[in-house]
Amino acid sequence: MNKLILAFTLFYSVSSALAGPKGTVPRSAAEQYPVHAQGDGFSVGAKLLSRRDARKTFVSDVNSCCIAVEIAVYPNKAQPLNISLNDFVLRLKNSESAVKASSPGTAAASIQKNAKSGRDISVYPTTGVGYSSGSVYDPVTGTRQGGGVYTQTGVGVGVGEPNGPGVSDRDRGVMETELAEKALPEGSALSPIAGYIYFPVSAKKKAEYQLEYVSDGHKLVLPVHVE
Amino acid sequence: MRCVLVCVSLLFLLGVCSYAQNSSSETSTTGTAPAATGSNLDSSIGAASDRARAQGQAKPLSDNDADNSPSEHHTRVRLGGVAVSAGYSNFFPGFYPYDPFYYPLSATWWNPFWGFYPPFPPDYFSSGNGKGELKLSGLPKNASVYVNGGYAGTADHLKSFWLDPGVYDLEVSVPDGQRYKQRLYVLTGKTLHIDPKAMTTIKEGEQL
Repeated sequence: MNKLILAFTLFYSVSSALAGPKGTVPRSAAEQYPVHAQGDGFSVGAKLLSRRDARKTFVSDVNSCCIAVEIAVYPNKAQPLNISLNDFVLRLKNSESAVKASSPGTAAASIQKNAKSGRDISVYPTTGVGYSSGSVYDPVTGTRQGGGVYTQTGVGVGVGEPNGPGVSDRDRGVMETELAEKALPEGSALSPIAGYIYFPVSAKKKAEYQLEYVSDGHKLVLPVHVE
Repeated sequence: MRCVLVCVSLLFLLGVCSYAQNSSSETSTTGTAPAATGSNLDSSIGAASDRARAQGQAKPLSDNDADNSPSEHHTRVRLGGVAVSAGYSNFFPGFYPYDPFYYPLSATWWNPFWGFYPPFPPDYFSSGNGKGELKLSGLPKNASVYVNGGYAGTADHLKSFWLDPGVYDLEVSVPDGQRYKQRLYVLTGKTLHIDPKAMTTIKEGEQL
């Protein structure tokens, strides 16, 4: 039995060590975030990423599936905090409906689906210039035509299935890795942690949302909005 | 005259090739710094919680939100390539209409007078077909670049290069001893602009 526990511990340690980075670097305090709130023994800071911010932050096209919110949680040192994505809810202000956060795998699948649903149109402008010397008899007009410069232009258009970023299964794996590595780490936190949470809704301009975080029965409400 | 036109045509085609390669979609990355807080976390995420999230997230916020969801069908227009060609001939009497591109170019090159079809097959110019492009800028010429711990070359030789889709660790070592790192997520057909200002500095003694 001891050997089994030892093997499990070893496996867990190795897999943890080989795992990629998790989350982002939290700011010095929750007050450094655009919105923040104080809970019972912890504080939370949040920032809803605009579409432009999301494009800069992620290689994956997060905007096509989700709203990304950067969350930082600051637990009291004496009181570890258990963090789960299930504790976060995004609600349209003054609305009863709400969504829970997507896992990175689900978000990546959604991005891939949206990327596959498109259509690629390729445009090929062409132009040519020729010069011919001498003259030739033109049977149509009955005259001799001299040489000169010939020009020609055209445009070729090709329509096909999308093959851009995020379509292939390999890309999906990369996107899932990126979203997972930048996501808010789950588990028991003793010190400040930060990362992104992906809510499967499309950002509406100037929409106001409420980010709700429930911990040990205490609910924090943070008003966030799309810039 | 003929030699000059042939040389000009070659230059045109070379320029077209390089332009078309640059026409793929581009993006910038700020290289979000990885957190160093993983040690105090129980990072095991249960599959059960994933399933639970997957079940609880499908509902849109409201009917209006469903209308605002990303379009199911979108179109991406891209420049497949630009072809410019030139030709010269001293044609023989009796043939009309004469195709100035018949000689000497037609034997080997596409003739623009044939019609409005692309002179090259689709994706001909995508030298990184199926790969993602990395563009390094703002680095000293003799900075050493490492990808996943392996030496890739100096910055002046690696201004632009292609990688298979995947996750990579990029490290840059500049002559003054500073080292930088960045996690790269390479997607098919996407261009990443690597800016040293956005990279994380590696502290002395720290391993990548």
